[in-house]
Amino acid sequence: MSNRTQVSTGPKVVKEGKQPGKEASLFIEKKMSQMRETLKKYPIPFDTIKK
Amino acid sequence: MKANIYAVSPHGNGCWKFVSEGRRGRFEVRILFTRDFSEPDHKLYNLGFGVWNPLTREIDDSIEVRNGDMDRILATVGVTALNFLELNPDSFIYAEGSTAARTRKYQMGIAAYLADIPDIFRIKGLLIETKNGQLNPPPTWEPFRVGVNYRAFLLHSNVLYLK
Repeated sequence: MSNRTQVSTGPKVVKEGKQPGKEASLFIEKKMSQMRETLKKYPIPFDTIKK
Repeated sequence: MKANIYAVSPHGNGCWKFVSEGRRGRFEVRILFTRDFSEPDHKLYNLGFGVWNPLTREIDDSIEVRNGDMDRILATVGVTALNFLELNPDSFIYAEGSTAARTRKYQMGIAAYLADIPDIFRIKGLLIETKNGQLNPPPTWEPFRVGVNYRAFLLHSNVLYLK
């Protein structure tokens, strides 16, 4: 058995719906649906919003 | 920022957590940044937070804990979002409350600390005004103004565009 120490590399962002153990999957689905519904009507003008 | 915030710890996969302490006890609150891959050209993240329910293993942003620390919770979420942007300066963070009332609370939280937010960060609000049932003027994403009611918020960093 290895005695290597587990070192945390901090949080990593993974793909939507790929949370470990599907934690908060309903919450994610709800929030993403809400955001997409809003942005479908009112898109973010990314190219002009940066300044 | 000079805000009084809770100690936040990473939980992995875009999730952070902290414990709300107040008159009704201790509640674990989780903050989640979820990448929207339907925007492949931009790193757009949805910001969500709420009370962690260990039984359902879900985050509940619909309940009112009434723990007397909402300002501190909002400040904690706000600082966590700024830290996220410092680590991911090419990202955009979208935030919208689960209800109009909650979005108003976010708005008040942003307004309370607006002067303390470093200049490299930008906050936009989605302004939707109606008059006689018609949009007036057309909805716009504009720089956040205190006292204006917004539908949603967008936080991003300007550090990559400064010359």
